[in-house]
Amino acid sequence: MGQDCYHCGEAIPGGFSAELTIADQKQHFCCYGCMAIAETIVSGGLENFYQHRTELSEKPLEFTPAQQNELALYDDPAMQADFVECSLGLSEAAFNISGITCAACIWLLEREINRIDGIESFVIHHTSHKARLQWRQDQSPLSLILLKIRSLGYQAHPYRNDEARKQAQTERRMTLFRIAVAGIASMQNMMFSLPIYLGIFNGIEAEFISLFRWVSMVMCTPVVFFAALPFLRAAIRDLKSRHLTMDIPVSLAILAAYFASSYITLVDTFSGVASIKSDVYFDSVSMFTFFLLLGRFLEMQARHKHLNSDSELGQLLPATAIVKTDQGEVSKPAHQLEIGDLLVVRQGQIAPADGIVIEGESSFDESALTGEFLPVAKIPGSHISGGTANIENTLIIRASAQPRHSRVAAIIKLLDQAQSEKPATVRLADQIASYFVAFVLFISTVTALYWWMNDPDQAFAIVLSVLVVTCPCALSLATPTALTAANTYLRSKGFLIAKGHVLEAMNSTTDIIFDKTGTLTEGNLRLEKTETFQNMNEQQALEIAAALEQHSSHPIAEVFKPFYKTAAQRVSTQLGKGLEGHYQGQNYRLGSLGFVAPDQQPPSEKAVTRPRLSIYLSDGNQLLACFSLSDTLRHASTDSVRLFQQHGIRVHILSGDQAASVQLTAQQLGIENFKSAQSPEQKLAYVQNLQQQGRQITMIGDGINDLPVLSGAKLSIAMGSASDIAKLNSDAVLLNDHLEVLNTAFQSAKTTRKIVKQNIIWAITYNTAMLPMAMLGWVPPYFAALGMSLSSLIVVFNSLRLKH
Amino acid sequence: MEILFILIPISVFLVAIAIAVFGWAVKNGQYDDLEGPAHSILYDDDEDMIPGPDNSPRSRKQTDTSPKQTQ
Repeated sequence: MGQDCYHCGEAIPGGFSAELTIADQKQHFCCYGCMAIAETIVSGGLENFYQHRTELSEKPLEFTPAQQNELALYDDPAMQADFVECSLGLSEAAFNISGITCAACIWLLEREINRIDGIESFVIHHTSHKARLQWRQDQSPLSLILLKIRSLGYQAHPYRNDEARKQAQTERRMTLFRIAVAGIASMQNMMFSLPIYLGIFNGIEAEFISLFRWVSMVMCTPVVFFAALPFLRAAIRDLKSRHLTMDIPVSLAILAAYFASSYITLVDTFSGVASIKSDVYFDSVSMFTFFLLLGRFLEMQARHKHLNSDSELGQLLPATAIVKTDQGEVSKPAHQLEIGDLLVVRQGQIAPADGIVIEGESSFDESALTGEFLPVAKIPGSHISGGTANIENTLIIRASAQPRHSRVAAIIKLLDQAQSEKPATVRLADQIASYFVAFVLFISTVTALYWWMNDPDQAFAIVLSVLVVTCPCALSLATPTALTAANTYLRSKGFLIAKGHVLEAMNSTTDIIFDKTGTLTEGNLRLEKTETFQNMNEQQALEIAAALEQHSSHPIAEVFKPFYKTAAQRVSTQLGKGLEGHYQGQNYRLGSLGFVAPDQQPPSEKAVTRPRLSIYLSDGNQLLACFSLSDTLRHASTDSVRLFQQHGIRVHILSGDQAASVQLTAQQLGIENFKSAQSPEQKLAYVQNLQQQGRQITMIGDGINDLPVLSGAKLSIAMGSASDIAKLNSDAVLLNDHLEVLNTAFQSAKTTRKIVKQNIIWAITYNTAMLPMAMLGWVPPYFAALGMSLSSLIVVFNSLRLKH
Repeated sequence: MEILFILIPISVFLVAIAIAVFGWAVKNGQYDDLEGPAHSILYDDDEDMIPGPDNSPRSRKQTDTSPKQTQ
């Protein structure tokens, strides 16, 4: 006791001893799994891993011989068909690796795996934890490689390259390339325009001005027609849908400045009087494009980060299943399962498909689907959902649906649907922009008409000045710079923003809906109170309970683990009732009241009326102790909820848990609106109903059962401990699970809105003040360009204030 | 100054090459992982490249042979 496992950092259970000498020091482990991994690592000469790592490793999952047999299934060409590519004896496949906690894990895996015979290369991507493996099947079967990864304490899941992922990768690479084109071109253009700007004072020969302009034009052409293509495309799309957005003035400015400059270059060259009076803007065009692209790229990075790992439906359901046939038990790829197959689900395994229990009794952890963290008892005839975990005994179930038609798959489908019905959020800047754009277009036309009628020679230069002066550079930077600064700040606090509308949606939020388990509460049981009867003392009672529970894998057993001293004998499990066994020569029963002492009345009124979970201990007829267990609140929950309520935000609880425990939590936190025992569909309906009443909803959740409602709510926030797929489908992630950060984020959203407003007011004031002068022909184009840059700088510096 | 008429086109040509090389690198996935290289410098996996006391490279093979097949 008092010491933590060298490998995973968990407390070492009392009485357990596993030691290993690493670098001349004795190290202790919490289980043989951790020790075996440390042994593998050290025997491979890689003990440096323990120095390099910055995070503790994950506790390994149990690995049975049956699971080893399942890995062998991956050698089957039929199984490999959809994720392995072969050419010239060299096979290539991609995997998602789970269990990676820091960069040293990647180092360890790469070193170890690359030592296996027949491995050409094994590289892990640091952000997505995606591994690419190239190897020779004839030298090492795939199962051997997977086994090696398992033996190091990690898990590899085949990664199927679907269209969406390929598209995301292409998008990323294209953006990088566009940035390079715009960046290099703007550097070159700066170099050529500087002499022209200086030439204003020094006098420079006309032929050189002409040369510089031509070269600038050559440099600028790919910027406009390749790098700025996303903006141009978006502008065309928006024009088609009759919707004025920032992309339109951005495109207009880029195109107008480019074509006007090209026109000037051509006319001046052929007329032979390249004068510095008529300016060109190739440098401004390239730089403008470069900065806009850079902003987009950063936003994209944030979106992809943390969210592109384990997201496949396939990972909720196991890839293989054990089928009972006349020839015995056979492993089979899960996608080949047929309705009516008899599936064997062992302890610790996840059901591969929906089905009905035929044989055996056990309890199932359905938290993934329902959010209920206490296991549900299953007897013959009970329904099992694919994706839920078997906790106690081996069961045989008859498949009632193929994996792709299972309950989990239905939830994913609901998710897609909810996403498409999500209320659209209009950005503040976009709202203003649409009016502003209409105004600019109108003014430019009026100016052009007036000057064309009065002084056609000057008309073009003046219209250009008007367009440059009104160039919405500062305006288009107003929101993104503020958002980026706020995102960086919140990120350092542990709040990751994945989608653009988060901060603005926070400001308009009127209702916050929390899931209960894992969000407001920790999501695991704690011993709250021990009452003893007869002559039992508390320590003794806990010891006996721990001895009996040692044999159980029920979550309740975890509570008693710290009190374990010695083992109990002849322990038997009564499903859904409790445990019975001998401890130091005496017979004890532990479990529900009806099981441990059938004839006894509950010891006190309180224990029954209170919605906690009570576990009783008896010696067969006398009640000895009563343990009250409950799911504890996160320590910040109370303050966080109170703060929201003070700001006039309505707080709700929407939980899949039982009524009593939800009610207790609601009372503790002073929340009036709560709903219990909600299915994913009901949750979504509740939120959609509120949204129809005009309420602005923020949903905070963690489980797969929260997925549809997370997608359906206007703003969704996933807890950092949530399943990856929940994080992927949320707008923001609370990385460290500290609820008070949520309040900080809402506060920061308010400040951001203020800064954005200031930025927009400044940009518009500047533009409108300069506009009349430009219309009158008082502002030469180069001065307009200079003013535009200064105005943008002011916006950027104002936004940077958000970082502090 | 007439030399500029030659030098500037050359610079344009060089820029074109630079962009082409960058494009090739991006396409080959060199920029897919912007975080890994920052860490990889810390790993001492270049022992075989560091000369030992007798000036011969410390061969990695020595450590490599024993754990080749642990499974």
